[in-house]
Amino acid sequence: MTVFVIVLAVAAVGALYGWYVAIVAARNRVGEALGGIDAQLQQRHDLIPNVLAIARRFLQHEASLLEEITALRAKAQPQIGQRDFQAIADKFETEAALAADMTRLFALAENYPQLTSSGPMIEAQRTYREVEASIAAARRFYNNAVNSLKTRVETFPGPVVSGLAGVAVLPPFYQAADEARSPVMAADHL
Amino acid sequence: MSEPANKAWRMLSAADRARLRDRGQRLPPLVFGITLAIPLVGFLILLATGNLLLALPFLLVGVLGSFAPFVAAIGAALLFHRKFLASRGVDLSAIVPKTDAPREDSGHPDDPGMAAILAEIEMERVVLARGFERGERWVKRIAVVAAPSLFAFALWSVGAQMVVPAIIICAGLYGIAYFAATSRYQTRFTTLFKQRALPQLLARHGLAAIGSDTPIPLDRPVFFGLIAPETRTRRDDAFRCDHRGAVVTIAEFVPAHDERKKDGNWRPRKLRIPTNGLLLQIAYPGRVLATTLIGRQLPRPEALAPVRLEDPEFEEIFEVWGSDQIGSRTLLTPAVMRRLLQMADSTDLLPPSVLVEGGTMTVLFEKTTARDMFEPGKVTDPELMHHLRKIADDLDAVMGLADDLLDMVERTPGVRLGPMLCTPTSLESRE
Repeated sequence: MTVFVIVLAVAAVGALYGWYVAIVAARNRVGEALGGIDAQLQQRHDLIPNVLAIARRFLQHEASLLEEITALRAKAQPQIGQRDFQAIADKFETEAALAADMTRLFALAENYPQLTSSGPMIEAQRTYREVEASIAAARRFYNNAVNSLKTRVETFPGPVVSGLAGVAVLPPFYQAADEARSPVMAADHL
Repeated sequence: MSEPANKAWRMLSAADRARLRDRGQRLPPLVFGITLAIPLVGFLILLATGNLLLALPFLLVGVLGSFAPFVAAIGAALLFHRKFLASRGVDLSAIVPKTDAPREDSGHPDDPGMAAILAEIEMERVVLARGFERGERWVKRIAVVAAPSLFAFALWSVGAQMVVPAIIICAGLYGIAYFAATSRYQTRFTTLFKQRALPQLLARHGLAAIGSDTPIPLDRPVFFGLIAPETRTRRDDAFRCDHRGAVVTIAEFVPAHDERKKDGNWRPRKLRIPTNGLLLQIAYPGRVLATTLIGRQLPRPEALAPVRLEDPEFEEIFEVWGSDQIGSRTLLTPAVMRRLLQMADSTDLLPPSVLVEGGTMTVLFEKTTARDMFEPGKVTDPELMHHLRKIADDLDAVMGLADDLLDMVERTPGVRLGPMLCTPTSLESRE
């Protein structure tokens, strides 16, 4: 009987340790995915001043939008590298607003043939599309990692060992902005 | 195989064909395990108890059980084989819409300009076919006389134990004589066809045949296990063209003799590399962000990490490895995953295995049949036009697949491309 209890206890501890390891692995994967997102977001931030510099020559009437983008970028830049899960939601919100404004900017640019046909703007738009595609891919990777972590933490014995694994707060999903999901109607912004 | 069975096979999606094949490959090890395990249970009972009377029913069950899997396996094999047989005769041309009107575009078999070439080939074929049939007749006549004599001599000189070896020797000698007497006619016909008619068909797509001495750069696909090394494969026909700003190489690969023998269902899953297939290599003016390998039952590649994707059906059919999680996902958008799943539908091919690295995409479509593509048929077969139309349709379909792949790359926002001319060709337009 004693042997049976000892075997059972060892098995239970082994199972808990296995679950702990799985949660740590999933948490690290979320960290890796966040690193990937940050690298792509940094590229977007680096690109924005160039796009604004090109656009400013033609879009004098859209000064408020340009200023809003500048302000959002200034707010988002220090949030790069943020690893606090509670603060990440705010970071994603800022980035979503920035992405939506950039989409609006490119939609407005369509009304200025001189702007859209200029070589630097074409190159900037192409690079921006590439960066956005990379951000979308990074978002899918991150959401996949978060989903995996949430499943492990919320499934028993996850709640018991998640504290030990350093996962007190679950990271939020990174959702695409509503503006980015729906097609932009340039006429709405005229 | 009957036309309804053909249609039933054609109706299956490429993903379903892959599932069916995977199940078929899992069956023999299962049957082997059961066959071994059931008599073993009876034997273990006998060993443990030492009571034959107690063990006898188990042993009997074991003996009967050892037959049962065979019966089940034969039944299952017949079922699967029926499905696979159905694929014979179903070709890539299923993609191409059939019209009653003859297609008279330049280089097509129905093009009046081809008539002179085809007439010349047909005249030569008739002569060669006569030679083939004459050789066949002589071998049969000799066999009728020589085989019983050889058989009787073996029995008289050595005895009854020579019955089986004598049969094997007779069959072997007949095969060798038949091959020696007929193969040169078939070879000459195939050579003539490939020198005169095939270039016309290839020219329709701007394709040119590649000689066997011209290498196709396959170091990286071999390194990543997409295709077996040359020692285990034989390159059959190969063609190349410039298409929409990219260089497209098409090659048919078949397993080498040793590999064919090993390519049974008993091989460990991770060692099985599909070699029997159609290879498309597209060198396009652009680059992808990460080396990405998408495959089915490939050996685990070196230097690449597994990429877990979100599409459950795609995950069921494909395994994905990449040098960078985000870079690989940039290529494999949900739309691309769907496209890869559906690309080989309406063909007799399985879903493709793909290696994308830098500006080169290598795609291997595994064949589900032993059918040789781009071959003229038997020299004695008078239906030359039928074979020509089939090859023309196959080429159309293969170039259609190349267009699909180029469309896929072109529309992926994360893939930076140089100039590439868009054409309206798409999978939908050919349905």
